[in-house]
Amino acid sequence: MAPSRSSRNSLQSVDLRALDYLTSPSANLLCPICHAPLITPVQTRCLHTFCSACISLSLERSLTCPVDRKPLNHDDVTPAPIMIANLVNDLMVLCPNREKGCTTSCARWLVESHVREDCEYATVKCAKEGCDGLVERREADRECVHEEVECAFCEGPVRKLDIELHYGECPKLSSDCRHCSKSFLNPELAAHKLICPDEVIDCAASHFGCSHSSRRSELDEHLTHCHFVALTPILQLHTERIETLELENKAIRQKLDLLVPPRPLPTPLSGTSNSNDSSSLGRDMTSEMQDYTYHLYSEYEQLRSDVERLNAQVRELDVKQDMVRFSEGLRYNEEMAGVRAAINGLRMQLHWLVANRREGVTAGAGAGAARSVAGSSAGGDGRRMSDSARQVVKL
Amino acid sequence: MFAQKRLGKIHKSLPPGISIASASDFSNWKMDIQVLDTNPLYANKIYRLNFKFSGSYPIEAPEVTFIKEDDREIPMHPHIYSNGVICLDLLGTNWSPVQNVESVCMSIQSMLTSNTKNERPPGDDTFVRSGYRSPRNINFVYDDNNV
Repeated sequence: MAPSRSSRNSLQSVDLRALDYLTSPSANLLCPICHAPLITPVQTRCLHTFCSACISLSLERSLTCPVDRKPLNHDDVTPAPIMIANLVNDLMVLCPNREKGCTTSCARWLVESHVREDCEYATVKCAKEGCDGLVERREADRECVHEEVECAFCEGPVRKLDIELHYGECPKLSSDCRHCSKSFLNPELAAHKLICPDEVIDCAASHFGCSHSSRRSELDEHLTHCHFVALTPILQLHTERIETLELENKAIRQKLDLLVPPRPLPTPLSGTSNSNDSSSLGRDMTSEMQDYTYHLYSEYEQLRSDVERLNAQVRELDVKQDMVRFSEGLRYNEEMAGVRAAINGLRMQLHWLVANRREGVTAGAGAGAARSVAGSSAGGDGRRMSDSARQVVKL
Repeated sequence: MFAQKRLGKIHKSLPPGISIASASDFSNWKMDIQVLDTNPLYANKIYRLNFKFSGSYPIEAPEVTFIKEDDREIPMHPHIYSNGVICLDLLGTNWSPVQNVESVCMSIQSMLTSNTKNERPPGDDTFVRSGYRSPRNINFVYDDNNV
């Protein structure tokens, strides 16, 4: 079952700013910014009234009242007295679908509901279930125009809505050429247009400025004495050259922009006491400055590349030195290990000798003799030896 | 959108000395203005103003310049460059969305009326050579309140 009319609300929105009024409203009810009757009127601290949207746009640009230029903040804007809102909402407006044929006029506050619920010319969803098409409300109860039907001639599927349009291009139908009034099948018509002797076409050099246009059959005569046609080869050449130059120019400009950062142009002064000379002097100065900056910049570039080169060299040297140090260290390590092994061997021998000697002493002589023997024997071997011998004796 | 609506409402009766020369679309208007008193600098001459409206008019100021045509000169004034650019605070920092084409024309009219100096702004040559066509990018220094 199709939904009832009242439940099919229009999705069409109403732009209150674009409405036309039945009578021209009093100038006192116009917003000073948009010059249209106020919409959602608001009042400023300085007691001026604007549309809410207009004043907030204006405040985004400048925090002053547009009328008296007094400082004004977003907080200083409050809703206007309800009486003003009522006065503008009561103004009679014409339905926004007037161009489609609606003759209704109503108070402004009613126009939205009129379009949403009543206006016969407002667009609503098609009544057929599952169809997404839009129709005017007065046609909503007729059968759906969005479903596809078969064309009687080419048997292809066409939307009912588009059938008239389709007849103009259906490949099975023929239409008349507009110029020579011969009849052609639609697909052949386009081809015929390119050769029809009666078709009015532009001169071959029209893109170079020739304003002549005539029937195809008469154009040849024009072409024989058209100056533009005579110049076409050279003009073509020029166009191509300009194009390549433009491309080149663009590339060069990009490079230049990379090299020289764009600077703001000097600001002209107006009504000042600055003399003409000083400003032209300023111009020279700036061009000089520009040269100088460019010079500095290129020098800087050179220095930077130098530093980069040096950096690489230093890094190389570092690596080399590391290698040398490493191999040398290896050699020292080996030598040290050899020495350590030798020392260990000596220590073992010494221990053995000391142990042997102690056994001999405790067996034969007293403590005094042992000391003297130990002292004399240790004297040649080194201090460490004697130390350990002494300790042993003390114990 | 509402700017167009607003521009469409140019008042039927313009003040004397101001008339529309062409207003074919909502982005470019040409207005003719004339100084009505007997100022010898401008007597019996008509000047043509070119208004360029951006999409955000009237929140943003329109670009207003004098233009030179066959029978229209650029008026001599210490605040009007010879390429037609006008140095007027109302069209720059002091623009207010309350202003309209009519009020701008009247301001320029009175600016001409009160002038007595037959000269161009200082630095006119340099300025014109620098090729500024659009007043939008210029930071004028509005320092002269006498004229």
